[in-house]
Amino acid sequence: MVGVHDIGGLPAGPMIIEDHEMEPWFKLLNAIAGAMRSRGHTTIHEMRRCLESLPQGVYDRGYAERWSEAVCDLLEEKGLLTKAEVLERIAEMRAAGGGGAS
Amino acid sequence: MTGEPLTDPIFKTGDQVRIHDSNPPGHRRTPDYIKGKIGVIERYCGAFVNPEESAYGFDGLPKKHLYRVRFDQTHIWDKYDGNASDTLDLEMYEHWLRPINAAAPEPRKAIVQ
Repeated sequence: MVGVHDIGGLPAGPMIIEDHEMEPWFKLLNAIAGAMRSRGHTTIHEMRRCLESLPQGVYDRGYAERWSEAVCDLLEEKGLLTKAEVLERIAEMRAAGGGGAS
Repeated sequence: MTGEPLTDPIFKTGDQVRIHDSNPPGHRRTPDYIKGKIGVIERYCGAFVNPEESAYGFDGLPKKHLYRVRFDQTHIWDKYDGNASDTLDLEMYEHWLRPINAAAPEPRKAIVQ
């Protein structure tokens, strides 16, 4: 099975090589992913598997967005947090006015 | 059980190998464009946990032999227009490598636009 990530040599648009700011939420997500590994809950291989098995439409949303989906999938798979719990917490943070523009 | 490989490395530096051409389900680290292509063992890298098993929460043991394999770019890409001596190195686990004398179909050509 060839995954959504396996695009080497296929037609594609130009590469965007400018640096860009890492959003605060993605820094937090990176920290969560790092903690899941350093505390022995998962490995980089499991994370890659979750990233590379995302549906095409989700995978295409962008680098940070696909990581957020993959980490949520893995949190649920490991029995650490359900997606419903994550969404509930997001709603709480938004209601408290900490959710930013969106 | 120490997790070390069950067998000695099959290949040595300079050996020609063909990349196994298959799309099995599961978490695979072999890019599609290199399947069926022929390369040369550039070096033996050591034995490492098998990511195809580790990806599902298993320990990935016994470890698998890993090699750096060198390919000619003109062999990989149908319309490669760079320098004819350009090469590409990929690190590949032994179970994706086949001896060059093993029967296999002609490698597919990848499409470059």
